[in-house]
Amino acid sequence: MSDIQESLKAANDFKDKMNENVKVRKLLKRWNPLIHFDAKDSDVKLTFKMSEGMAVSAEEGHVGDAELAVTFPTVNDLVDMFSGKLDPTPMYLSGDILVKGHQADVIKLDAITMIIWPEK
Amino acid sequence: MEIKPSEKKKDLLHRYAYRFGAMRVRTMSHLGLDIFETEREGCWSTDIDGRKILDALALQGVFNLGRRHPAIVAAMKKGLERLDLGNNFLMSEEQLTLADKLAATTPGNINCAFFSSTGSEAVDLAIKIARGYSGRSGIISANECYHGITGFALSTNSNPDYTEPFGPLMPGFSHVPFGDIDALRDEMSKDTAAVIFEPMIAEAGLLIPRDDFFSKVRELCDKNDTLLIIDEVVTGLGRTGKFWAIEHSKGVVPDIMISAKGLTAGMYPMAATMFTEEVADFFLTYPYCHYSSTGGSDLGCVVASAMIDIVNRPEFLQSINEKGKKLANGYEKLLKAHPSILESYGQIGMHTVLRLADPAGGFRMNRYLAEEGVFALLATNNTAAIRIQPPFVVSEKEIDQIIDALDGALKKMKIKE
Repeated sequence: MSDIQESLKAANDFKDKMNENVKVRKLLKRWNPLIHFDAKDSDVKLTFKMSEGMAVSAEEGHVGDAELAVTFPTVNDLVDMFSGKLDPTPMYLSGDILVKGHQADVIKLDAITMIIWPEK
Repeated sequence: MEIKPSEKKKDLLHRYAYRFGAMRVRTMSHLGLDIFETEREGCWSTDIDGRKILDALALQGVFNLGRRHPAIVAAMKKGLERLDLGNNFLMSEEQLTLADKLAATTPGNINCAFFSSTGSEAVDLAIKIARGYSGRSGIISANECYHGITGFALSTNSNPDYTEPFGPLMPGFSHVPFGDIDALRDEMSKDTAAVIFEPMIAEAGLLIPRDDFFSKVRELCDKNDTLLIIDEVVTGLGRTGKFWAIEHSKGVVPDIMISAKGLTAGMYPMAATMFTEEVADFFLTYPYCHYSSTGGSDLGCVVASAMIDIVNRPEFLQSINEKGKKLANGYEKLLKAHPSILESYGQIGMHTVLRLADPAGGFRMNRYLAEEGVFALLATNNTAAIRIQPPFVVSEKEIDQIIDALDGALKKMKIKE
């Protein structure tokens, strides 16, 4: 599977898991960002759209004006975050993830992974 | 140095996350600040795992006199022999003594006071008094400010991290860039009850306005019949080398001043809203409009009085200025050693901030400083800034340790570039 196929699949799985989760929908019902993701070691670019606690879409490329842009060191890290294997906050705090936009939104991404994969 | 928690600490962290919030624990762990304090004395505290931490923040002024200052502990013990909260429906000699001592320090005729438990409450009261006294509703604060977490105080804040989930906030609040007198003039209207500013804003990377800023603000307020509220919660009680930071603006007399945090030297929750005799007239018509059952307790007043006796002496304030200069000398060396990492610093008395080139570098510096055994904190409204505000009782040797730790942390920042 190519980088983009793998990333897109992970992002869509993440989207589905988010939308199935009542707690995520409730806690993030006022969070409506357009988020751009990319990775330093790859051409992979993704756009993630949230609206009223639901992940509306995860698509290839950078579409629209993002409120939040997150750059991972590697495409593997990006896939790992969408798969619940990587917490974005420590990588952000250690300077490995670059964020443009409202910094506290990274914590919201982390909170989503924490709720979806509570056993982590 | 990697900080590995013991099994006992892991268990405490797990339970703490359950009771007080998992994300908070996770973030603090990543910052190297997942510390359960046990012993605490002077500028030092000890983690439950035995690790000693040198305090370079003083909890933004709460621990201005360090931890468990002997004279403060003694005053509290003595007070405990005969006092408690006090009955706030009645009068209190302890409150009166503290109000006298505060009035001897404040500029102009700020001779009246009301005591509460926290800075946020004290800010809320200041805004209530301003609205009640003026009959107007407009409150102007700085974009970069932080004045507290309760109703009116929160509404002065423009940082969405604090306000976003709680909207709509109180009506009538607006913001201007700190230090911009033209913006303030444009924002003022016939409905402006008060302008509330800190004398300088460490939360934003230590913004220090031009020398004549506050005299111009005073002028504007006078012209518009608007009250000037100065929040000295962080800057007051000696932090900037003068007892009140507004004293750096010669001749400026606010209408209302607020103090909290270090007022009781970290031994008791207490805050003060202090105001002029003219503003106090408001309470002639509304004497019981504001109340606090636990605020201004007799015990707290005794402790606060002891704090003032220690700090409000010329030689003590002089020592703060000297220690501030020693910190600044250290920062100059760090600037030369790490020109691409450390952009600048701000220093006035022992109110100091380091500004990093990386816009989010404060998080990493926080972690690296914790690894070096020093507790400091990034500025809430500027993630490129690290606040260094050690207790006034810090020794020369401990200042050297703080500078060495900063040097070590900046080296790690360089490696990460």
